[in-house]
Amino acid sequence: MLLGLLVVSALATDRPSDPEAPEGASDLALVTAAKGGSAEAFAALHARYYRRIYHLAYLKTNNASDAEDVASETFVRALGSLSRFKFEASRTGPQASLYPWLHRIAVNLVIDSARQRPPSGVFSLDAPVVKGMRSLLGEHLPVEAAAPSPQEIVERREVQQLVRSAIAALPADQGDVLIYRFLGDLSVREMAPLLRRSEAAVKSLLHRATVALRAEIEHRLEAIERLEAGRDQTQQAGEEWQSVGRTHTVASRRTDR
Amino acid sequence: MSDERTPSRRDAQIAEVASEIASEAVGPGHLGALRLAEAALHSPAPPSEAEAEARGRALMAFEQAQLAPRMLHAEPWGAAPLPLVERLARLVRRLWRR
Repeated sequence: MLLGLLVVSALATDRPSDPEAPEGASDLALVTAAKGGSAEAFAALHARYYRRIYHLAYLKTNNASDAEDVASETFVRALGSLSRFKFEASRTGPQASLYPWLHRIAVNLVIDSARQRPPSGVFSLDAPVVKGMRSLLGEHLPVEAAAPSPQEIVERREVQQLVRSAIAALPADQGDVLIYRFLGDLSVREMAPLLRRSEAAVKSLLHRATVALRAEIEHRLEAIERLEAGRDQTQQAGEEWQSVGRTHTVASRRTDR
Repeated sequence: MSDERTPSRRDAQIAEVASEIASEAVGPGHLGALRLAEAALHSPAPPSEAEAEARGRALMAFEQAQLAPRMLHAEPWGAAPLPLVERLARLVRRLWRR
C-alpha cells in the first residue's frame, strides 16, 4: 500500500500544470465557476484579491485590525451579490478584472463603518532618510556614503506611512487612479470606462496624480525638516539659557560674598 | 495571475506606468514618486493568520450559500427554473385575471 501511495505521489508531481487550474484561470472563468458552485474557484478569487483589498483598506483606515475586518467582510459581501454580478460589456473577455467591483464594496464598507482615518500629521524620519527621499524625488542631492539606498528608503515603514498619507491627501480621482493602477493592476484601457474617461484622459490623470503625489511628499518632507530645525533651535536656546543661568548663579554668589 | 510581488514585477509595473505617462514630461522625480507609491500601496503585508482566517470564513459562507437554492437559481425541490418567456406569460395571465 505504501508503494502504491509513493507511486501516486510521484505521478502527481510529474503531472504537467493544468492551464485550467484556478491559479491560471481568468477572473471571468473563476466567477463563472464560482457561480456554478465551485468552492475552489471562489478560493482562487480570494487568494488573488485578498491582499490587494487589505492594502486598500489599510490605506483608508490606517489600522491593521480594521483592514482585516474590511477585507474579510468584502468577500462575504461579494458572495452575497455574486449571483447577480456581471462583468460590464466593455470589460468582458480574459482580461476582465474583478478588482473594481471588490474595490467598490471595500470602500463602501469603510465609509459605512466610519473607520476612515488615513495617516496624517508629522512623521519622524532621520535626516539621511529625508535626504534619500529627496534624492529619489529627483532633486539630485549628492549621495552620501552612509545614505540608505533607494530600496532601503522605499522599504522603510515610516516612509511608506508618509507616502500613504500623501496619497490619501490627493483629490479623489487622482488617488483612485493610482490605487486602480498599482493595487488593481488595471491597464489604462481598463480604467477608461471605469473612470468614464478616454484613455488619453486617464493617462493625463495618471500624470497629474504623479506630479501631485511628488508635491505632497515634498510638502511633508519640508514639514519634517522645519520641525527638526525648530527642535534644534529650541535645544540650542535651552543650552544657551542654561549657560546664562549658570553665569548668573556664579555672578550672584560672587556678589553675595 | 499570481499576486506575488517580486522585485522584477514591481519594477515592471513602475516602468509600465512611467511609459503610460511618457507623453507628458516624465523626470526622475516622477519615477521616484511612482516607486514610493508602489511600495507604500503594497504595504504592510497582511498577517498570514488573518488571511487564512478570512479565507476560511469566506469559504464557509460559500458553502452555506450553496445550500440556498438562490445561488444555483433552482427551485427548492430541484426543478429547473422556468424560462423567462414562460414566467412573463404567467405574470401577464395573473394580472389579466385581476
